[in-house]
Amino acid sequence: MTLAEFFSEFETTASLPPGTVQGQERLDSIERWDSFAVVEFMSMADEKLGVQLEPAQIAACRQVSDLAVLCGFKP
Amino acid sequence: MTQSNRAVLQAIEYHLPEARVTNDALAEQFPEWTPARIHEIVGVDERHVAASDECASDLAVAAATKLFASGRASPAEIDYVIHCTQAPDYFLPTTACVIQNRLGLPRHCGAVDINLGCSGYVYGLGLAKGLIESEQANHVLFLTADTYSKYLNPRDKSVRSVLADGAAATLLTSDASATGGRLAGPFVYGTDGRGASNLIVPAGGMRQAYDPNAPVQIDDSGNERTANNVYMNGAEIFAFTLREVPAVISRVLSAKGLSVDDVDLFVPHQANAFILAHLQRKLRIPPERFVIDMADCGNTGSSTIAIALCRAMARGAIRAGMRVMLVGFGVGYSWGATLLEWI
Repeated sequence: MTLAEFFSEFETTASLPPGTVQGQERLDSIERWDSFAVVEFMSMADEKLGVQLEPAQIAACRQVSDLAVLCGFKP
Repeated sequence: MTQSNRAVLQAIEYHLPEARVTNDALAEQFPEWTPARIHEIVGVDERHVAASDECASDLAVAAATKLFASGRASPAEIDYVIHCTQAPDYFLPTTACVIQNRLGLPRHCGAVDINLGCSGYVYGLGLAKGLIESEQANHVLFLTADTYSKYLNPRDKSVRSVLADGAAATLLTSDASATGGRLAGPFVYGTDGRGASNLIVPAGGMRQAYDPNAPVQIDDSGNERTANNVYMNGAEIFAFTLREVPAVISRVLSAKGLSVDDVDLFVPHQANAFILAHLQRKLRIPPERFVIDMADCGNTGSSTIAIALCRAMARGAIRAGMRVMLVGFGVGYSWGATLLEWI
């Protein structure tokens, strides 16, 4: 998966319009980034990236790019 | 051990309370949601909810009454009742004793409550097998019943979307001529109490008294609850599920020298259809061999496996010669899995 594809997956998870995520978006400003979206994101990471994330790791992320790093993408 | 004292799951009946909460009703209360979105994230379209004066024991009695009406056993034959609930009528007496009287079970009948949720069905079957195969009982009535709705805060969509009320009655016998699911085992269990705070009703027991004036907390997703309400950390529960469910399935299979392909049907705890679908793909089990059946009843705790199994039996999905795996997991954390062989 490329970083662009990762952002696209995030857009789907957070119900954001396609092509709108660049990485610097603050997670706490995204309305649909709720407890269900976190579970959907964990599912996507496990299934498509083979990364099993812990909720505490996700909670420590401030912006979308932090999630990308957590999933193995280079900053 | 002789064939005559092998425990057999002979019959299941279930009961759901009359009132329902639909996705339309939830979406009306939580405008940020649509019915389609609710279905997408939890796989539930409606949940049955007990009336204000209806207890879990009432649902259990209704399920047992259906079981007796089916003619598979009479109350007089029951010599042990196990009642699995997290919503007892009282702190004391034991709700199973109240149920013994209401169902007209014999006075020589043993009766016990066990407090487990999502793993309770597997644990209860394990206890019933022990009772039967150690010749302490011949006809075990295993009841699972819960009214989680009574713990829900109406402003907490994280749990209102999925948790529901219901009960099931399962008959287990030592009858060698019975048809049904032989409790072949192994029974594999697991516990990790470090997860206790991730699915909990904090107040109401001895540790923290029920407080009618408990302050309302609002979480990052806008859900409201007090200490008297159920709290579920969905992300932690999902992470726990990914860690432990594949592992416990693997332990059961290894103990028998089997592979996933040797199991004809998997009936997991119906926690959340989204999570179950993820597990089904992760475990590479074909969807037709992995039961997800909760759209019209939600997550009823310890009854979900019984309800899904009962429905699978009713639609002819389980036949003699088939091997069925049951997997319970959740609140505690507690988990367990076992194999049934249909005869």
